Formats: sequence, structure tokens, C-alpha cells
Amino acid sequence: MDQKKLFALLQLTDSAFPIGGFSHSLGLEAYAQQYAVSRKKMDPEVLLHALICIIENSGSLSLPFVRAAHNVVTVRNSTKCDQHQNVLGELQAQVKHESNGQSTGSSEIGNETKARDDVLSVSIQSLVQLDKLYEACSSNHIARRSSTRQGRSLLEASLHTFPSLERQGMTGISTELPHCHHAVLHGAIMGGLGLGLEDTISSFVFGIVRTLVATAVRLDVLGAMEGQKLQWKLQEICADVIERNKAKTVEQAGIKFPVVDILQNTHDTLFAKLFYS
Amino acid sequence: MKQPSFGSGHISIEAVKDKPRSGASQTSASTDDDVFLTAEVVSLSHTYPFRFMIPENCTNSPCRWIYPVAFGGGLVGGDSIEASVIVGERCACIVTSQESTKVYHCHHSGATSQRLQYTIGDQALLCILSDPVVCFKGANFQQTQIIEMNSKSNLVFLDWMLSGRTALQESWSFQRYLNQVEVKFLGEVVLRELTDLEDLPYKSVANGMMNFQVCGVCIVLGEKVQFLSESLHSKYSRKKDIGEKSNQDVVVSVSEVSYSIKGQTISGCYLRFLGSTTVQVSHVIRDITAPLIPLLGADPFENKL
Repeated sequence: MDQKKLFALLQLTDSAFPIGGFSHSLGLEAYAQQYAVSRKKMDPEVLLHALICIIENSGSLSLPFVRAAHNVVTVRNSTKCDQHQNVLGELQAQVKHESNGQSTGSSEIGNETKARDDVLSVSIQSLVQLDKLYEACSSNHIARRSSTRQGRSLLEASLHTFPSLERQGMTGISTELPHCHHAVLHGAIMGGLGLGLEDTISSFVFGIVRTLVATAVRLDVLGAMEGQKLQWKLQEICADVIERNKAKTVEQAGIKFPVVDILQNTHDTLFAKLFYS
Repeated sequence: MKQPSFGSGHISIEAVKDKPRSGASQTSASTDDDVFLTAEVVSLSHTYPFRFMIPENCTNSPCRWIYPVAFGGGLVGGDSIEASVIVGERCACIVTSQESTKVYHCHHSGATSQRLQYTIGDQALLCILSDPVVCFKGANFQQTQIIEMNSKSNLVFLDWMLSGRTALQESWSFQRYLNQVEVKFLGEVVLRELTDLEDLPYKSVANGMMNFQVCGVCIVLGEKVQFLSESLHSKYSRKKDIGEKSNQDVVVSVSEVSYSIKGQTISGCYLRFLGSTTVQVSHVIRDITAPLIPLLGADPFENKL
């Protein structure tokens, strides 16, 4: 990986990058209260159980969207003049697939500029379809809230930080995307910065694990040093989760462990809470 | 041993419109938007081992009761069922069952699959209130349920499952349970829920379900069942009191949902529950069905909970 891309990746995954991840517990707070997980009577298995379930759910639901969004942007950016037609066809096929056969967009190509515009608008339409489908998959309003908040912040912070995204016409996304789900934006932005699919997927899962461990530390169910040790231990599981989910299509995206998801869905009923979701 | 088979069914009901005009009261009643009209079956077909049972006059209400039945006491490996139900304009209909849907093991055959499609017309109501699905040890059940509706349709959809045959100490010991629920509003997918339960390298289904043996979802959408969405939402979104202990035997979550497509809106609620026994969730099921009894004419879970 060249240095510029590495720097972009590190900056995006840094907890200082303002997407507001610190205010979301991904369901861990509701779980910790339900099972009264605490450091004093700590049963590490009870905490580890939740972490594995949450990572599995995020992997099986979100990774297909991360991959699809990354693919849309990468295909668009790799467009060269002589390939316009093919790419356009490919993107339209994809949009058609995502939108369940509803026909979209124009097919006539007059000149190169128009072709580029078409590719741009078709790719944005593909992202819109992905965003709508992710919305349909998140009836859990707590998860939806967490995803759209982080997604929108990620988009705004990235457009502000990386001038190259604006040059690619990515500003259009912020007005076009109806919900701005995190998984879709993560894939699109990483793709826009030229980062590969593997790095994009790994960094998404890394973000989940980092948020979970930071949450556990702030809920005082885990010490800071223990947290880092656990985070490193979890990367083995993460590799497996990625391997099993990276080839899935968005049609196959779903939940593996309903219990943690339903508990997260009850977050708003907690009497006292530290996190927004 | 029962051989795997392919069964299919289709049913369509429509309101009886050309009733003999015996008096003015009849006409005024049928123009009243709040009332469901008496419905008749206009199209019906099924192939063995699947069939629809449609008892006549089972209640005093205009609501039609439909029982999809698969002969043989359950679904075996390799079975494939496809069924569709179309509820016409201003009809009310309940799709229910006499007993739980049992799914047997798939050790020597392929998966058991079931695809159910529902279409709800204008001012119509469809209630899907069946007994739970029970996947036995070794079962591989793959189900798709698609519901199509428009801004004037009304839906109450309950889908729940048990962990297995508790008397045989079965607890989440099936091979796989893949359930996809899709609600299409004016042709666009607005709600999709895909639950894929199977043992994974770092966690088994049984372990992931913790102490829970019952898991379910209920989707309520539409203006005519708004009273139900509201009562469920106000009951289950209540904030806990100070120091209130969380219940380890039953967890209920609820989200308000609202979808707008092409300037038309439909709203309702999305409820999910977990219980350590069927008894623990019986009050949840009752909270869903009891307010509907006047519309349905009877209680689909009478003497069952």
C-alpha cells in the first residue's frame, strides 16, 4: 500500500475522526444492563459472548453493503473513455438488480462528457438503492439511528477532509442519499479514496471492534489494558467473520444472533444510559 | 417414511358486491368505509399435500378464516411449499393454523422450503396469526414470506418460533433456520428481515439464544390497525422505573415504523419478543390478538396459550 493511501486509511479509522462513534454502544449497554455485567463480579465469558454476537451480526448484515458500495465507486472511478459504455452497462445492470427490476436512467450516449455524467448519476443511483435497502433491513430504530448518524457524519467529515472526493463529484451523495447508512458510506468513501476492498472491509470491522471495546471500558465492565488485549484477541474471530461474509450479496444480508439485536432494540426503555444507542 | 413432495396453493377472496338490495340500510352500510364487507372465495387451487381449508360461517364477523394445511403432520426434508393469498378490496381475512408448523430433520435430503406470498388490496385487512414454527433436531428450513400492500392496506403479521421439542430436551438443535420476511409498499421493499440461524465456528445457535426458547416478530401496518400499533407501542416502549430489574424471562422490543413512497405514507409498529417459555410470552401474543377479536370474530389462540 502506498503511503498516501495508508495515511488516509489510518486517519479514517482513527477514533479522532469525528463520526461520533463514541456515542454508540452497538447494543452493548442494553445487554450489560440486562445481564448486570460489571467489572467487580466480572464474568469475562458473558461479555465476550455479546461481543462475538454483535460482531457476527454486523458482519452478516453490513459487510455485503460495504462491499457493494465500494464496488459501485471503484467501478465508476476506474472508468476510462473507451470503457464508458461497458461500465455504464455494468452499473445499470447493478442498479436494475438492486431495485428489483425497476428500470432506471437513460441508455443513449451522445458524447464523452455525457457518458461521464451518466456514469456518475447511475453510480449515485446505485448508492441510493443500496441506502434504501439498508434502511429496509434496519427496522430496529436504535440500530438505524446509530447507522444513519455515523454515516452522515462520516460523509461530512470526509468531504471536508479529502479534496479528492469532491473532485470525483461525491458531494452529490449528500443531497441524493435519503438515509446515509454507515455501511454504504464507508464502502463508498474508502472506494473513492482508492483503498482496496480488503482494507475497506477490514477497517469497517475494525471500527466495530474498536467501538465495542471502547464502550466496554467506558461502561466499566473492562479495564483499559484488558480491553486492548481483548481487542487483539478478537481479530482472529474478525478474520473469520470477514471470510464468511465478504462474498455475500446484499440480498443475503441478515441477522445471525437475534438476542443481542432485540436487546439493543430496547435501548430507549433503559432508565439510565450513557450511550445514544 | 414420508417422501419429499412439492405442494402449492393459491386463494383469492373478494367482497360480495352484488348482494340483493333488500333495503336502504344495506346500501348505506356498504358505502361506510369503516366496515369490512362479506367476502367470498373467487379463486382457489391447491396441489397435494398442501391445501387451504376455508370454513364457512365460522364466526359472525365478515372476516374469512383461512387455514393453510400440509397433510402428513409436518414438513419433511426436501418438501417444498408455495402458496399465495390475495385479499381483495374491503375484505378482512385471517390466515391461521390449528397447530404449530413442524419441520422434521433433513439428514438424508435437501432443505425444506416454503414460499408464501400475500397481496392486500385497498381498505382490506390481512391478519397472519399462526401457531409457532418448530424446527426439530436436524431440520433445515428455508422460508420466504412476501407481503405486498398499498397505502390503504392493513396488516397484522405474527411470525414466531420455538426452539424444538422441549419434551425431548431439544433446544435450537436444527441445522439451519433461514427466514426472510419482505414487506413491499407500492412495489418498493420497505421492510426486510432476514434471520439466518445456524451454528457458526465461534458460537452455536443454542449458545447465542441464551436462556430463550421462543423468539418472534410482529409487524402491524395500516390505518385500520393503528389502534393496535398504538397500544403495543405505548405498552412496550415504556421507560423502566428507577431500580427496576430487567426481566430475564421475557424481552419485548418495539419500534415505530413509517414509510413514504410517492407521497403516500403507511405507518405502524415492529415488535419483537423473546421468552424462556411459551407461557412467558402468552401475554405478548394476547396483547396482539385480543384487540383484534371484534374484527376477527373469534380468538385464533383460544385454549392454546
